[in-house]
Amino acid sequence: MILIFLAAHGIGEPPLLATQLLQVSGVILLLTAFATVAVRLLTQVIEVYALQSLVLALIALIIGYFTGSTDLYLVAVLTILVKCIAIAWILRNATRRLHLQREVRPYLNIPASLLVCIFLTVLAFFVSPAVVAPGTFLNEPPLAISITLVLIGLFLLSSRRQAVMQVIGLLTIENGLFSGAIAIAYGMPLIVEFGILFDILIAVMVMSLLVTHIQRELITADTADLRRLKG
Amino acid sequence: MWESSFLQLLQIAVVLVCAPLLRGIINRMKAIVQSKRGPSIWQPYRDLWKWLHKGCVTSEHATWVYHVAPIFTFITPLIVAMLIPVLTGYPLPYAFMGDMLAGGFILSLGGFFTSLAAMDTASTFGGMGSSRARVVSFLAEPVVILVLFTVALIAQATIPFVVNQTLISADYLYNPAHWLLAAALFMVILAEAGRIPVDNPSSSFELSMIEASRTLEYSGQELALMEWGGSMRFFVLLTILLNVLTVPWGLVSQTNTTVLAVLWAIVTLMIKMVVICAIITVIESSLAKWRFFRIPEFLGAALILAAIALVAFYLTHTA
Repeated sequence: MILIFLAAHGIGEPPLLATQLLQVSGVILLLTAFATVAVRLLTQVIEVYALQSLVLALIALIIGYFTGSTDLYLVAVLTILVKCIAIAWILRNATRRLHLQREVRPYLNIPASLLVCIFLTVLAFFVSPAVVAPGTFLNEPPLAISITLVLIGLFLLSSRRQAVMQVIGLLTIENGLFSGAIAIAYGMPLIVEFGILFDILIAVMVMSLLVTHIQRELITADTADLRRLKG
Repeated sequence: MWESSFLQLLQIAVVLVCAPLLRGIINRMKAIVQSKRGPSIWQPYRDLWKWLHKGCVTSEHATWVYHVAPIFTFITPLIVAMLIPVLTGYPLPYAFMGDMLAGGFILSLGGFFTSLAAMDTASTFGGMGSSRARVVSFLAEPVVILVLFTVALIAQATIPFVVNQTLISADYLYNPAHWLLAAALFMVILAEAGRIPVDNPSSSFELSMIEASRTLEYSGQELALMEWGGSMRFFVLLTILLNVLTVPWGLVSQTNTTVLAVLWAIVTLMIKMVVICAIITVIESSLAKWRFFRIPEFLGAALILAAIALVAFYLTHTA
């Protein structure tokens, strides 16, 4: 399908402006991933996540413009609406009602977490040459960034106690897969995009409801306290 | 080549003369931001004049290390000033004495003797300040090494004169690796020079001082040498940031060594210094000094920026 797409559009060497813009956006994406690990305040983490989704939408716009596929324009607009606006709003409301507004004692402290993230980035860059689709617009590096985002999201999910931080980890994994799909295959079929965006929207709504109920029952949304099945 | 030797001496003279001006400019700008009038920008020169005319009072426990440290603090920035492009874009006679790594080590030689001298007087504040300053230095060292290695990778050289020409060529000017390296080096300079958020340079509370407590015991001419050396170290570090990594324009080129070009180089250097002093003033006025245990996070963030710069370099070169 990719080869038919390429043949139809006659894509050869990408223009220099496109490459430079995509390099800069890729690096900003990496920086936001590190920023989600480095900040403590929950409201700041949500803002960083909104920025990450905005950069993803910009990447989709740039690739859509230079390859001429209008699907990616629609995907970019939907990403901004669902991720930057709707999900950030839902998470902010959930955070407002929590007693604890910051990640106080993660399982691994912040400088050590940052070192682990550097290691994960290097790992992703070693892994990605084996998973490349030949003949695409931009070969390996964006795929390496997507794998980095997935790994950092997994790390966030496993090393944080606050439920909202774990939700952000899950959303970072989804962002990584989304950017990987754009890097390899110019986005997935439109109906798959709709499905995924709707799924994560519902997932975040359910999680914010759960967090509020947990908070009401247990006074804290610290998942370390949720060890027993009975209250 | 009398003009190369003359330019070399002129470079050292510029660093010597213009260094105290930086502190004066930053203090004046900070006062203006706070709606005060503030001291004149020439005040550090008046302080140096005052100290040079006073005698030294020495602790009875001090040894030769205490008396030798001001000399090292004064001389090491001047040696590094010979190695970096302060005024000229082409290498001067002594510029091949050492590369950027050697420059870094020479500057830390001065810091080494200052830390020893602070402990030499058997004062408790000096010992505390020394240990804290060493912690900041050893945390900043991986960042500096990573920045130097990435710059050497990009430019295929470690001499500053070669590096700055490569970094402003069309390939690298808009490369994210270049700007991430500049940001990482800026954060290290803030840490090494003892500016906010690492240390408050104008605090009088000895329990919280890092850099300033190392000169607490000095008086008279030795204090003048220490303070002047500290200002010159700050000036040299900023010159490395500006003329090697970020904005190496306005320097005298090999074909155009006239008096006018040299004057223009001095003027552009001071303009760049004023701009970066403005940036430092904005940072100092918006943040407070952080807890000492948050400094590893600050330097960890600088390490992340340098590591991402390295990754971004590979990103743009295996495609």
